[in-house]
Amino acid sequence: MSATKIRLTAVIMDVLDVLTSSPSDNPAWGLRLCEQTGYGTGTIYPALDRLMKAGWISDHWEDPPPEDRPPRRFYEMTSTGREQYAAALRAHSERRASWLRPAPGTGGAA
Amino acid sequence: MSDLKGADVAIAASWQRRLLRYYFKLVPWILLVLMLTLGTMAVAHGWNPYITFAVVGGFYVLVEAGRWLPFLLGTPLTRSMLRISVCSLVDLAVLLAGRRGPALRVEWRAHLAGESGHDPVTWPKAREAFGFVASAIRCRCSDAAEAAWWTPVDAILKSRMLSNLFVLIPTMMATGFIFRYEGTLGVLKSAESISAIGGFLYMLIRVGRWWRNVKPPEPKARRGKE
Repeated sequence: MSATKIRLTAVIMDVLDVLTSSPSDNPAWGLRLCEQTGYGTGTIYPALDRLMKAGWISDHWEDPPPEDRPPRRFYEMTSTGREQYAAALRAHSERRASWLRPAPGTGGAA
Repeated sequence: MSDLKGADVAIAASWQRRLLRYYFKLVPWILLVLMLTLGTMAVAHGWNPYITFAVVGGFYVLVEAGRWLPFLLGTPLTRSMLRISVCSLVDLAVLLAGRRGPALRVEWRAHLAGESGHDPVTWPKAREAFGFVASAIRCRCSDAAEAAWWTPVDAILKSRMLSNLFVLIPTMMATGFIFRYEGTLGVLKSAESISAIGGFLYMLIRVGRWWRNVKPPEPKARRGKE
């Protein structure tokens, strides 16, 4: 298995933010992710697939399954996912800060 | 005040109805004029005469669709057709999704059932079903790209030897080709181009490693330095 690199696109960050903020007793599922992020199904499900492949999120089915409707598939962030997301966010902000910082000797703002 | 408002609405509605009636009465005449104009232009400019029929026919189809679609949308027939098409779209998406299909079928059906679990099938649901097809295609394309393209590329990026060969072989081949046809002088003259090829391939490896987050193993420390 190759080292799957998760690129912090706007979609991925929005999905991860919703997953991070979801309580464990009421985890996020496909429809809620679509509603809370504002993206369509054609965007959310491939993003979830990518995150699952990278091991950042895990899934589990509604238990016990309801009788009157299909069971929902819930998604949660794994501990690895939380660590890597935090690290990626740190790296992202550092990179942005280094771009915004004036180069030495160019006479930036005093 | 409310009566006046109601009367205004009634007048507006009657005007709309009248306008629509005139519009539908005028449509055949508009089509006739359009056909005659286009036919004259086709003869004058030497265009294909079928263009006239195609344009007028297309216009007529649009007019008829605009006329009937609003009446057809809310009927039980269209609602059942919508339900069948949404189910077919989910089935198509499941078929396209491959081995993930069975799990996704349940997940997507739960999605379409909504928060209540018993949402009626509406046009937004049809759009979501189209999204399932798109996501199935995207997942399969990503799988195919992973298997056919990224697996060998990652193998090259991870190995120092393969990365070196990836840079050296084309560069040496270009050098050999120039040497064969132009001799040593040709190689010296084309040194810039040869180094550009090597540099470009080296940059490809560096960018690829960054892009794929791949690092080759560190070289072993030499024992003689102790």
